[in-house]
Order: sequence, then structure tokens, then C-alpha cells
Amino acid sequence: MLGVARGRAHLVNVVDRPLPKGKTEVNLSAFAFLFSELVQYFQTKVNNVNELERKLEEAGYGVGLRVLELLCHREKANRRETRLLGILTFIHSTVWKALFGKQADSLEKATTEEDEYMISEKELLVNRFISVPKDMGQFNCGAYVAGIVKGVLDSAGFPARVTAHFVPIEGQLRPRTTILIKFSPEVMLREQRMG
Amino acid sequence: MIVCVGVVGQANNPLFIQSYTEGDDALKFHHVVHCALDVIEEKATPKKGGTGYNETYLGLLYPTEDYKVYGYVSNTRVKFIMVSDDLDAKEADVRGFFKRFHAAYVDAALNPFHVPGKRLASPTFAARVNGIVNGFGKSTA
Amino acid sequence: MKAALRPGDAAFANVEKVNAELFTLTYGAVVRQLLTDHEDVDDVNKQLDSMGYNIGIRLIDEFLAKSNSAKCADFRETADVIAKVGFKMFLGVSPTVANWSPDGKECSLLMDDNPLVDFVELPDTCQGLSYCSILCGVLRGALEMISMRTEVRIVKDMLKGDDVYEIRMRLIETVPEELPYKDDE
Repeated sequence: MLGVARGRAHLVNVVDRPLPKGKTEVNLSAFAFLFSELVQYFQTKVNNVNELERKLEEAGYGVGLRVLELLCHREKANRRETRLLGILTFIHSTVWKALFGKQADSLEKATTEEDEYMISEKELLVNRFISVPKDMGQFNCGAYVAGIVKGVLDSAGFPARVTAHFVPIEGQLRPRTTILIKFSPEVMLREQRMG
Repeated sequence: MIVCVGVVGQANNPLFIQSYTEGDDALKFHHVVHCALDVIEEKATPKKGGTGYNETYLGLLYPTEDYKVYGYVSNTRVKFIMVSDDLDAKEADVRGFFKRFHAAYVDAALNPFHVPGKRLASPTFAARVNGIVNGFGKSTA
Repeated sequence: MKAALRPGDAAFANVEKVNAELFTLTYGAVVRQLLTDHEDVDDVNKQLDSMGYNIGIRLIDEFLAKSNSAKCADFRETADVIAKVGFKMFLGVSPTVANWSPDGKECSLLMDDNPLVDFVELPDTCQGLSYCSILCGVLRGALEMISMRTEVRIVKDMLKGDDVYEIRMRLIETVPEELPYKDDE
């Protein structure tokens, strides 16, 4: 059962091991080193920045699918999310907190497009320790996080196109990263029907 | 006693079906699980004007002469089905069962070698589900 | 009363941390990717080891800067610091050092848990995979930067049914240290 300490599991049932509670942490550098190896490995496999971002996105996608399984069971108790705003809030708060230790800086609806939403972060974790060489232009490691978000959304039944972009902020040296979510038409239709 | 449990994926593809009866009932239970999916589809589809929150636990899907069929659906739209021949199972027990069943599934789904949407081949998962099935209705924990 | 903080605990307490699941799942993604790209699991083991090596040669700097460890006199002391401070500082776990060879050049790091393996169950098709071999590379790389050439391998693996994870380290040679000012002056 949830909430039972790992070591006590044998008292309940040998095979009925509880899920880890998600409180354990590792050194951020350990993650940074590993992530940077993943990026470097992909670099040997691709021809351009675009392909590199696709690769990272795919890697993140598999993580996103698993993150949703894990968090729904642990955090959401026995509710299911069926509305668009609900799942976005879930990602902005619960998923972000679990993965990055904090809520995302903002969640906004695009002003021009009905089906677009943006989750933004001043300093996205994966962009903090990677310095991108000049010749790689707008390459954004946030593609990995975009992949995670896409995995979560797809798995929850809200297919979308998800991409990561640098957006300059006035008066700031470093741009922020915006995860742009564009929902599939079927999702928008379903939302409309539900009123 | 639980006579059959099943996990069914997003595309209504069976990920895991296990029966616990002596006889060769595989075909029969595949049919039971199949029928259950229709009821789940009906129960779990968001309603117009609904609050947007829906319980994962769907309760009794349908009774047959000999069995009761219960259902549960996760946020990831994976369906869990349980068939019991105990016609007076306590709801708390059934809810508890699904929670543990779901937890076992989550652990198996997090295995980096599990391919999402594919059959759950893990022996550990099968063993855990056996343990949960055997413990059904016996413990209050 | 609170026990005095051990050096490894202090080092771990002072670093910025991240949720272990993000780390675990990302490592899973790395292994998955390598398995997709390589036909032979032995190649995957080698690739993981070489990724680890790249990490090790860079990670040592952070370790030396943040661990406050005094210079180790010999391999025995080094192994001890790796287990108590190194592993703790990066992964939050502390293996035990055991099974020393009589000549003091070979020993094992034993642990019953580590953040790489949460949720992992090896499928039958991957029994040849040494899931944690990245750790071997990290150790080899880091030790090389402090002048110790080593051979590191996993000899026991709980994912394969052993009762413990055992990483065997063998010191091949200690490369005499070049004095840092030699080049400039």
C-alpha cells in the first residue's frame, strides 16, 4: 500500500512491495553528468540541431509516460483528470514539483491560438548546466522536458504537439524556456462537447 | 474468491489476464473481460457538464449469475478488471484490492524494459498479483 | 542526541539535489536508447562503461572541490573515501568496502540498493546486460584523474538474482604524479 515504509513491506506481504515514496534525492550533478552524456551520445547520431531535439524529445517521451503512471497513483489518489485545464494544472504543479522540486513559473494560454498553451520557466533545470556552443544556434535541451510533457499528455488522453523554445525576457541576460503545447483538434472538440 | 483479473491497455489491448480457477476457463474469461470493457467505456467517458473529476474506481460493472465483475481505470486510461465469485464482497475490500493491483502495475510499468502498451511479461508482477489476489478479503490492512 | 555528521553525509547535505526518480527514469531512457541502437548487449555494457568514464574524469573535480577529503595515502584509504564520501555525495548511498586481496590492491564495494536500479527488472532477452556498468566507468575515470589506473567490473548483480551489488576494483598501477608547476616554470 502507499505510504508504508519500504522496510516494513515484508510484514504485509512479501510480494506486495510498496511504491517508493519519492522523497529520495540524488546530487543534481549526478543528473547533470548523465543528461549531458545522453545529449553527447545523441550528437554522434544526428546531422543537425533539429534531429538532436527530436531525439531528446523521444527520450523524454518514454519518461513522461512513466511519470504519469507514477504520479497518478501517488498524488492523485483516486481521481481521474478528464478536462484540459485540469491536466495542464497537474503538469504545471504536480509533475513539475515532483521532477524539478518546484511549480513551473507560469502557465498561460496563447493569446492568438485557441488550442495553444505555454508553460514557462526562467531557468529550466536541464538548461542550467548545459552551455550550448554558438554553432548550435537555438538548440534547447528543454526538448527533453517537452518530450516528458508530451508523454504525460498523450498517456492521459490529450495528444498534443509539444516543443521547447527560448524566449528573451526584457532586462534579463538569459532567455526563459517556454514549453509550447498545441493540442490535437480531437482534444479541442471533446472539450467543447463537455461544455 | 477472485477467479480472474485483467489489465487492459489504452487501445483496449489486453496487457495481462490471469484466471485462478481449476478448469480451462481462459476463453470464458476473455469474453467476460471483453464485455467489461464496454461497460467501462460507458462509465468512464466524460459527461457533458461534468466536473472533470472522475473516480478511478468504477465499482460493479455488471453481475452475472455466478460472478461479479468490477472495474477501475487509471489516469493513463489503463483498465483494471476483477471477477469474483463472492457475491457479497465488501466494497472496501474491492477498493483496496484495486489500489494494490494498480500499485503493482505502476511498478511494472516503470521498469525501463517494459514497452508501454505491450503485454506485462514480468514474472515479478505476476507473482505480486498472485499475492494480492490471495490476500483479497483476508486482511484489513 | 544527534550523532556527529559523517563526512559523506555532510557532503551530500551541502550539494544541490534533484528528485531521484528523474535521475532513475533518465538512466532508464539512456539504457533503452543504447539497446535500440546496439544489437549486442556487450556493446551496450561497453557504451555504458565509456559514458561512465567520461563522467568520472569530470566528476572528480567537483568531488575534490566539495568533499573536503584529505589526500589519500594509498588505495585502501581511497576505496574507503569512495564508498563513504564519493557514493554518498553523488547518489546518496554508502556501499561497504570488503573482500580485500592480501596485497591490498583489490577490493569490493558492496551495496544492496542504488538509485539506478529502482523499478528495474531485466527481461530474459537482456540477461547479459550489466545494467549498472556506468558506475564502473565512473570509478575508473575518476581514479585515473588521481593517478590510479584501475580495472573495475561488476561481479554480483541483484538484477541477476545475486544477494548484493558487488563492484570489484583492482589497482593496476599508480602513475607517478607530475608536479603541477613543472610546465610553467
